[in-house]
Amino acid sequence: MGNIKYFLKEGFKNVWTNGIMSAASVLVMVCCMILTGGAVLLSINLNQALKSIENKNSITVFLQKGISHEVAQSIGKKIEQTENIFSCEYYSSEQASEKYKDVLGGLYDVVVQEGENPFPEAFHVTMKDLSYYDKTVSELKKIEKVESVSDRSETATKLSSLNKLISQAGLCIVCSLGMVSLFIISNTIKITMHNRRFEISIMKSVGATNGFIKAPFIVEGIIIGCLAAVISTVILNFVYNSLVSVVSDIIPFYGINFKNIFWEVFNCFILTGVFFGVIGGLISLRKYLNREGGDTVAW
Amino acid sequence: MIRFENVTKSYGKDCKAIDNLSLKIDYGEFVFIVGPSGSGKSTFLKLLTKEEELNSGNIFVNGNNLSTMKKRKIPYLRRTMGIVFQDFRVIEKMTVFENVAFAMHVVGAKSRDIRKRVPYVLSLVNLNDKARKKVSELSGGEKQRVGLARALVNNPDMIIADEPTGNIDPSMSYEIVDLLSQVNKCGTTVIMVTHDISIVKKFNFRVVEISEGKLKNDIKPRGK
Repeated sequence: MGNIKYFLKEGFKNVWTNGIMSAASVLVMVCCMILTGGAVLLSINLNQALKSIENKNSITVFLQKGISHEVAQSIGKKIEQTENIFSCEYYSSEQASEKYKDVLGGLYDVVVQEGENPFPEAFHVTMKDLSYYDKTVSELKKIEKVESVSDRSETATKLSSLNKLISQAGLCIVCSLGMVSLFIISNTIKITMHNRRFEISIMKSVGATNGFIKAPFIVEGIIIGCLAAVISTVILNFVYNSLVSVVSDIIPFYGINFKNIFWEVFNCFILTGVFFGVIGGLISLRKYLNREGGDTVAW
Repeated sequence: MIRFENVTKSYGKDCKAIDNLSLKIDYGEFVFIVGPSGSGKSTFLKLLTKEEELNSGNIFVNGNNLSTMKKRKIPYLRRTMGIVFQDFRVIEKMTVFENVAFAMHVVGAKSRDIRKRVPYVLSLVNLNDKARKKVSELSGGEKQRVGLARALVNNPDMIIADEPTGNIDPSMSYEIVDLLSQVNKCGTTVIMVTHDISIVKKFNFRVVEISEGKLKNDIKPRGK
């Protein structure tokens, strides 16, 4: 118990005495954790979006441009007669235009020229049974004057390839920043050890074990890791919530609530921080004690 | 207690720091190790504390063969030794008490034992009244007494002193050696490396002279 108190005290002292290097280590680890956490959150949100798309049994059937309302109504009847169709709701080009005016606001006039309506006539179609999804979509595409059918599989494929890209990029970032973090932490601890080499030589001369000498420096690594974890969680929480609120103002987006995953994120960060701290510490200690630290008594 | 059997230690091909040295030091002896600079005195101490590996021969300390001793056992070997350095090696920013307590702390002593033992050891070296003083405020002789207290605090079997009087004035030097001789009277073996012939002459102890890594003279104390 007395030793644990001593190790903690010495660990905190090391972090404080070596303030600038400790801060640099924390900063690099914070960058690493925020980027990793950000990539994971993005991936979770994309997965959620994917699932919600897959679970939707409604699709949109777009007709060719320039079709009159009457022709559109007759096509609607053909859609209703198609197998596996539960409901078919007409959605006029004017309605689409109004909706996008609401969403885009002032931007609408920039995107769309005055007096022009770029939206085609469309139908919102609901299916009875999703297992016949592909078959129904191909039936609908065969109907005359149907331009296209919003195909969920296309969106899903795009989202899933985006998700894959984010995961791969995230992994690369994590690996490279992880290496940098390890390098910085091990150097910070090496500097602390160098500054305390005199004490270490006395410790060795009176018979301190290597474990006893190492412990405060491992604690130093753990403190740096934990500090980085706390700061990263706070920053990620703030940045994520701000981004979700900005994005959901522009497009209909229901991101996962950070509150629901706060502890999972925090615990992962703490574990990562401790892991990096311990490994970084061990790297420098092994090298130091085998080289400089080996000269213990220094007659 | 300490036995060197045909010990050789070389640095590189041609530089033999210790050359086929055989020597025996018994429990409770006080031995001066003398010799010119570069004679191998420091290497002798390094081999004794297992800071250096020997090339051939055997060294036995308290029955342990150092040439076959595992690395993880070295700290426990050093706990049987109290080391006093020429340059004191005290931590200036700490108080006298903290410096001595530090040596107990690092071997895992309990706080209660530290609080009891440190004042006792400080009283042995006449530093009781300066326990709360910062080491930076002390004279050279006092610093060396702190070093001696630190060496004694873990109750070692032997004291190894590397020119403990090298950085202090003559009157203080006698005081330090006198303290060491008192420690020796209590049964602790003392091995002291020195250049100071006046000290060797003043105190009647065994003198081992090393020259070019070899045992040149081994003079037993007069009348013992």
